[in-house]
Amino acid sequence: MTASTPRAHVPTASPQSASVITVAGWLFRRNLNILAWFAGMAVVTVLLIAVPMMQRFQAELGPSLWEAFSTSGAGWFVLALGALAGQYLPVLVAQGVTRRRVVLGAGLALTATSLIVGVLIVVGYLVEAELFGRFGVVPRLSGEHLFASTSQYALVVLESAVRSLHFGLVGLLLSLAYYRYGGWLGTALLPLTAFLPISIGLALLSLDPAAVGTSWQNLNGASGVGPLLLAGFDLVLLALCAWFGSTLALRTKPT
Amino acid sequence: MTGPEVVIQDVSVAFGRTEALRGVNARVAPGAITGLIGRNGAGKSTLLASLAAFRKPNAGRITLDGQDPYENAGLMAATCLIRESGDFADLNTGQALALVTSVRSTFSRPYAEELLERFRVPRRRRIDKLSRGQRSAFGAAIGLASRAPLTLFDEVYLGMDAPTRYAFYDELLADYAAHPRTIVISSHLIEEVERMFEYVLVLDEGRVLLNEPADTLRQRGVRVIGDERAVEEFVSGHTVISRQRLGRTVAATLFADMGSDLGADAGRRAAAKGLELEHVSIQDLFVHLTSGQAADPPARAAEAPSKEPA
Amino acid sequence: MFDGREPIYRQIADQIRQDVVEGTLQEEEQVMSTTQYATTFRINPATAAKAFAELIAEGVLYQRRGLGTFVATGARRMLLADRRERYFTEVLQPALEEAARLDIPLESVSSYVERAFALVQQPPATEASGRAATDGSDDA
Repeated sequence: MTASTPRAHVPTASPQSASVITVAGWLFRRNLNILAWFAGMAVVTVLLIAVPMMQRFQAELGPSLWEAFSTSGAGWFVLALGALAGQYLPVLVAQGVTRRRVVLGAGLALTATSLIVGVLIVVGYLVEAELFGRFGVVPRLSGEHLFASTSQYALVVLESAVRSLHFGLVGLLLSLAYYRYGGWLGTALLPLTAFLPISIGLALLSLDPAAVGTSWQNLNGASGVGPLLLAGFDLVLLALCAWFGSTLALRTKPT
Repeated sequence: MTGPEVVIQDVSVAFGRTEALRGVNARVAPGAITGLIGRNGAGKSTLLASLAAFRKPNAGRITLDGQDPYENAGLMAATCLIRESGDFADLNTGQALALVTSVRSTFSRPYAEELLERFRVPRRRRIDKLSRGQRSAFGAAIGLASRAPLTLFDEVYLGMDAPTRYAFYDELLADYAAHPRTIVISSHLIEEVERMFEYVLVLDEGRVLLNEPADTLRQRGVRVIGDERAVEEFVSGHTVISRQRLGRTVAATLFADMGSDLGADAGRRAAAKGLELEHVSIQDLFVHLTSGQAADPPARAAEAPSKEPA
Repeated sequence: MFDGREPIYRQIADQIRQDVVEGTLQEEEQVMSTTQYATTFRINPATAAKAFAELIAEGVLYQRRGLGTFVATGARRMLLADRRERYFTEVLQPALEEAARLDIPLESVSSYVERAFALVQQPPATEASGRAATDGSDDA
């Protein structure tokens, strides 16, 4: 990412090149648009479907529905956003942005997006608690989490954000692989580009079983190391995307 | 000099087993409009894509101002390649404009809007849903308004209707005059555009056939028509690139400079022998040179656009 | 427009010279800018610039910084003088060579010249003011 170097002859005006922040900003805004749309749909679903359903099946209310949805759903959602960012690589390169900056910008945008997703998940839990409360039920967590209760907002955000970001980066890697290798080979490589990183990521996240039910105060201690490990792994993943992305030649015909 | 020094050294690009470019050596004149002409499959698109760092050559070097543009932030920002396929994914016109505005520092959004208006591109529609001509016009507008020091057009205007094409040429010339930059336009539709070229780079089957000032090339086509024997006498020692026969009348197309190769008295000598001399347009010259029938294809493939003889 | 063997810049230069001689372009009048040439005829502005450079070197045109390119005073006189000189080598000489080729005797040529020259003489209205001549003589 060098700026122009001094030349012997009459220098050409060197245009400013787009920064990682600029790229991140554009991608982030697109993500927000999609997220807003998605959130809107979620609200409508809740109002029109979930509430009447809860009414109907009051007796079975107990396990948290939002937990199931947000744990896996958020991941796949951000994976799709990551894949979308990968799709825009040729567009950005065609407008003079280096591939490295596109990937790094995507990483930054996905990080910011994941934080927002984390916050929205907390909001979701709150809404769920409120709605369940109407029927006198407290939603029950069933999976393994960093947090013991959904009122540990920071931990919920942390876990959700880190998890989502990981899926997002996998999505980015996926779309880059598809772009490079096409449909057949791209799909054949899924075990390598998707399943493997996801499995590793999830394993890292829950590496420390003692983290289950940990409260915020213990995060700096031995327990709660999962997110850090995952973050480290994600940095490696991002670097891999940057390296791989920088080898991509733009196709002659659009995808 | 308001465009980068473009040097292409021994560049080869292959797609699988197909060789698109084979050892291309050329310089692109900075600050001038260069026409890149060649038949379909000659390697024009590949060359432009390599200049724009869309791809890296398999062999050889490309340098802009002495540096490799591939993944070079400053040089990539200084280059804009517009292709007919339109590299905009699923964006609509508004989104694309916003993107280019935020990412290209040299881009003038007001000028782009003006051009879109002039080229009659419908707004707020997905670019991949536009008609071929509208898509081309959109690309052309972005490319022109990008005001990139190295602006490349890969056959953008082929899908456009005639009025839009002429509007594009007019805008191109006017904006180029106001904001000089290096422009390369690739085409196989030569007649309409060749007067806009200051230099011409001809590719044939992945190699450079010619690279010279357009004015020089315009003088290099001479057709000698007349009786077979007289024609052969007249053309001996010169490069004949095509012969057409009708009975005893032969039309031989020469690749020779009217003034310097044939001599100032060529007209008179021809008249004396009962021969007709005709000017050959760049279009015709190009057809004959790349038809593969060339009797003696010109051996020279100049590296730099040769200087215009005073 | 701009076909033929002559390079485009030479055609432009010739056209300007012709306009100056004929009075279509007056002295101190501004010529179209290179940009205007480019967009009017769809040619490269550098081509027009080359024509201008040639004419400026000859002294037919001159540039005023920031204002444009103008016809120089005395350009017309200079061009006419040059044309007069070249008339003999470029127009008359080939005609005489052709006459020789066709075996036309000198007397026929000179008597024709004498007769025709008088008839062809126009009143010199275009010399002074450039206004169209009031045609006094009736050309047969």
